[in-house]
Order: sequence, then structure tokens, then C-alpha cells
Amino acid sequence: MRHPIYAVYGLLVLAFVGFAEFQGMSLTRVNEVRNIPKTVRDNPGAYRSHYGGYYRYFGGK
Amino acid sequence: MTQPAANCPNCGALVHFRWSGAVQTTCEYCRSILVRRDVNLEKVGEVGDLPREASPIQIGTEGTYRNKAFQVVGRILYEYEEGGWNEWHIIFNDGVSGWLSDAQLEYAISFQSAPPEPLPPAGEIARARRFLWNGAWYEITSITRAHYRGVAGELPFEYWDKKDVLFADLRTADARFGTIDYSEPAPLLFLGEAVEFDDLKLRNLRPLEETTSAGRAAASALSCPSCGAPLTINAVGHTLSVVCSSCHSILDATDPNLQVLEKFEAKQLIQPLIPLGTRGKLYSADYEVIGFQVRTTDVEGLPDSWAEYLLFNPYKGFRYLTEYNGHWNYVQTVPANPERIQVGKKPGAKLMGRTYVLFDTELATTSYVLGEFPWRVHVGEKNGIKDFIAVPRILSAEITAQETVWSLGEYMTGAQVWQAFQLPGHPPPARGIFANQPAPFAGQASSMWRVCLNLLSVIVLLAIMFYAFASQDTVFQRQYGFAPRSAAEASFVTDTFEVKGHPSNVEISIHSDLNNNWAYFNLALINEATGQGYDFGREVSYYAGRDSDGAWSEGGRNDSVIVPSVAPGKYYLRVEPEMAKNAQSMLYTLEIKRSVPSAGLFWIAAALLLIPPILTTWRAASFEGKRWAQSDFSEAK
Repeated sequence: MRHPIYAVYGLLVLAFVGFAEFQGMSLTRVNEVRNIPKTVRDNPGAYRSHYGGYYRYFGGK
Repeated sequence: MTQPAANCPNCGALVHFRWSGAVQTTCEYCRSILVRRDVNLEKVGEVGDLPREASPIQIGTEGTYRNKAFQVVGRILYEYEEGGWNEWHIIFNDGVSGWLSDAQLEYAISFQSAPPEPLPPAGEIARARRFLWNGAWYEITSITRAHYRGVAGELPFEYWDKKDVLFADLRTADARFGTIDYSEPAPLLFLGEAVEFDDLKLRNLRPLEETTSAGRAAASALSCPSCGAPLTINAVGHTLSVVCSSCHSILDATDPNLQVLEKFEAKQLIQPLIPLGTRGKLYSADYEVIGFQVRTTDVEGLPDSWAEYLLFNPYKGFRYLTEYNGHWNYVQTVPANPERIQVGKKPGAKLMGRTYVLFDTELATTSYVLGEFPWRVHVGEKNGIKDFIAVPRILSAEITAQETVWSLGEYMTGAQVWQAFQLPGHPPPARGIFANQPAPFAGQASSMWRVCLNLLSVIVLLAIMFYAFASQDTVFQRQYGFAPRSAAEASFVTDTFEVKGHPSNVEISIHSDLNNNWAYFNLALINEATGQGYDFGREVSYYAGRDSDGAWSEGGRNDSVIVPSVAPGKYYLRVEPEMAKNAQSMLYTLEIKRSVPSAGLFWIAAALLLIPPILTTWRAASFEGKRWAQSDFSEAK
């Protein structure tokens, strides 16, 4: 093997991608919220999503 | 086997013949030259005093050429103004007669051959004239008028009363060798090839002490006729010029009185990095540094110099070490005439199957000399030089009015030279990039790309495997409706569903029946037990119609989002759809899957794998750019 360091680096990348894929990892992030009260189940309107509260309009062509 | 023998007609001693076909021989006792006349021997002359012997070969030396054993049985010695050479007559074990020439320890074996075409008369030969013989172009590279100096041993013809003889030497691109010999009324042709000393596996050579001790003894007593400083000559029999290190007189080493040929004024004393007399081992052979010269070129009005060290081995001959700004080359002359070719837009040369590209052309002036040289050295001598490169080799043509000498160099580091000669301290650091300096990443780039290709193949296989074996379990699926005009609370939560197994991603897909409308979904995936949630929103919009350009559509009715690394557990989804207040109702389906394959990570891994070979290739290309910036083909020139 002429490039042992690169080969080891490559194998580490492969191992990481295999592990990450298996664990369902992704570079995309969603907003993680902790301790959402159980009452949201009974009163979903009381929970305000981080993404709510504004309207969008996507007009046609 | 009994050798044929006869008595010397001069002294009566028994003369043995090693070869039954010999026409001429010499008596070892009275040194008479004897010629066979029928069954008798006739004395035709006497062997004169031959000069000090410098060749390691002698009559009786045995060797092998192309798996055929031979023995040296005779010798003709020639001299010309630039030195001398031996033609050793050799007899192979099958009786074939040939010639082993030894010119300053450069060897060639040739055989008399029937000319494929009538040979030109002496008056019509000229350098660079070419002949197509036996499928190869032979080019006349030198024309030598040599002086017959003497003979010894057995020869295949009478050869004892010559004076001056004209020879035309020819070379091919693949080291084949030819000589047209004008010693007879009808010119003779000898064809053969250059050979390496080691390849001949010579035995029964003259003892090294014999070839050097006589000369050394004589040389040790030498002193400069100009200033009286002691002088040493190491390559006795080969050295033509010796330089007095005290007064810088250049002396004729072939003259017993060491006639002063010239005296040069050194503007400054230059101390060679490798002192004269230093011995070292290069390519498994021992060499001694016996000469040193500085050669200077003019670069845009400024002098630029490099140093050349002359190395000597009594069997292998002369080699050179060149040094420029800490860059070194091990150089030896080439016994071939490289083929001139075109390499793309650049001129090139082809030697032994390897292609060299012209790098630069310069006019070099010898500006400083020390030690001894096997040629008539002359300070101020100017030679045209063309350098062709095939990294790490450099093929140089040194052009004089008389001949073009080709030499082949191989790049060495200062550390390698220091180790070879066991020099103290450290070599001067290499500055800049030299013409044939190996690029530190050139060889690595291609092999690294091969490793990269293998790793990328593994990534593709890995991706195929994940796509093939990903479970993609549907853990929830249900259809809902949304009426924006309704005053009821829009938000709701789904039934609980279970995400099983190992942590994995979860894909939430929305399939709607929107038409020329939009909807926004505020979503939260909430773990029922821990209260941990993933909060996100998705927009779905779909518009379609027809205008003067035809039908068009924009957006889509469906969308999805992947939530990464969701721990196993029971979850529900909080959903809060939004639409324009006056929009029509819509139906939509929420579908949730776990362990869905995703290509993103594989693309990222591929990019990570590509970075090192791309960087290496870029660095190699950058190195080549800097190399060629110094060439004749630099855009700056």
C-alpha cells in the first residue's frame, strides 16, 4: 500500500459513514425541543411551534 | 586441447597460437612481429615501446558476450590528439573473431560486417551523415584521424606498418555502434554495440595495482613546472590535462615535462564541496573525485554557474556529479545517438525507448578548473548545451565544432551525495526547483487516485447495501382533512405510534390534493414518555395552468422531511396546518417511516475521500508549473 495514511483516513471515513447511516444521522437539523408538557396531547392548540405564527404565500407563475 | 605452436624465426622461442586463424602474432620473448607465410613464420618488424598501460584488459583476458565466452588474443593501439584507445582482438569459443574497443574505459564490441551498401570514400564522409543498415539509422558522430601506435598478440590480418588511419564512428539511437575503417584501400565496416564493463564478466584482468601503481609512482614525483607545487595524477593513461591548484596552470599530462598549456586567472578561489581525492560509492561502484570545473551561463545579463565533479573508477571509467543550488545529478556519457523527435509542440529526443522533452538551450563557458581531466580542458571554452528531461533523468547534448556528446543524468539529493562520499556535516540545502527534480507528489497523485477509486467503489457498494437492506418500516399512516374557513382549532395530535429497533432516522411525508394553492404544516414529533420533541415545518404548494407558452406547473403536492437519529420509543405527531383564510379545503395523508436510506452522507463521504488526491494533484501540477517556468518554454521568457 503506497498511501497508508490516506488508506486509513479513507477507511475511517467509510466506517463513519456506515455507522452514521445505520444510526440515521444527518447533517440536516430539526429544532429539538425538550420537556414538552404532556398536556399538549389534550390541548394541542396551546403548544406553539417554533415554526408557526406567520403565513406564507406562494403565488403562481 | 593443444595450442598450435611454431618457433620464432628471430629468436627460436616457441610461439603459441591461441587462435588457429591468426595471420599475425608477436613473439613474447624478442617482441618480433611475425606474419604467417604458408606454414612458416616471417618476421616483419618489432613491437615498439607502448605507452603506460591504462586499460584493465590484457591479452589472455576472458569474458562473456551474449552468453558466448571469448578470449582476448591481440591488440591494436591507436592514438589521436584527444587521447588513445585499444582495439582488443577477441576470439569466441566458436572461433568467431571480433573486436572489443576500450576508449577511456568506454567499451564496445564489434564484428567485421559485409556493408549493406557500398561505403562512401573517405572524402565523402561527414558528421551527421546517416545510413540505414539492418533496420537502424546509423549516424556518423565523429571522424577521427588516428595514429597507429603499435600491436601485440594475434590479429586476423597483417597490421604492423600503418601510420595514420581514418575512422568514422557511427551510433544509433539504441546504442548500436559502427565504424568505417579506412585503413585499407576498400573501407571496412565493423558493426556492434556499446557494452558495460560489468556485463562482460571479464576475468584475468590486469591487476589494479599494475594499471595504476606505475603511473602513481611516476605521478607522485610530478611537480608543476610553473610554480613547483606537487601534482598528482590518478587516471594515469587517461588524463590529458592536469591543473595546478597553486598557480592555476593547465598542464599537458601526456607530456613528460608537463608543458604548461595555459594559465588562468581565478577571480576567486573556489573550494569544491567534495574535495578532490574523496572516494565514495555510487551505484555499487567506487569512484574517486579527480576533477572539478565550474561552468557559467549568461541568464539575462547575469552569470549563473554550476559545478561539475569528475569521478574516476579504473574499470568503469569516468562519471560526473553536477551540482546547482544544492541539486545534484549523477551523469554518464551515453554511447548512443538519441533520435530527435517532436513531443507535442516541444522538440524532444528518444533514447532507449524513453522520451525526453527539451527543457532549455544554453551556452556554457568553462570558468574554473581543478584537478585532472581526460580531455584538453580550457578555461573560457564555450559549448552549446541542450537539456532534455524525463524526470528524474536529464539527457544533455554538449555540442562542439567537432562532435556532439550526449550524457544522461539522474537526479540525486544532497543527502544521497553526502552519504555516498561519507562527507562531514550537511549538504547545502536545495534552492528552487531543478529541471529534472522529481515532483514530491507526482508519483503519488496517480497512485492516490487509484486508492481513491477503490474507496469510492466501497462507498457505492455500501450505499447499494443500505438502500437494499434499509427496513423503511411504515410506523404510521393516516388521511386528514383541513378546512381553513372553519373556526375550529386547526392543531391536533395523531395517535401514538412506536418507533422500534436501533436509533434511526424517521421520514415524515405529506401527500396532499392541493391545486393552485399552498399549505403550511407546523409539525412536532413528540416522544410520549420523555417529552422530547422535534419541531419543524413544511410547505406544500402546487400551481398549474396554461398560458401562451403552453401548460405549466410549479411546486408539488407532496413533501417530506427526515428527522435524524430518533431514539426508539412511542411517539405522536402534533400537526398544525395553515392555509389562506379563504382557501378551499384539502385532504392530506401523513405517512411516517423509520430507517429510510439517505444519500447525503454518502455524497459527503465521497467528497471527503476526494479531497486528498485533489490536493495532491494540485500540488504536483503547481510544482510542474514552477519547473517549466525556468525552461525555454516559459511564458515569461
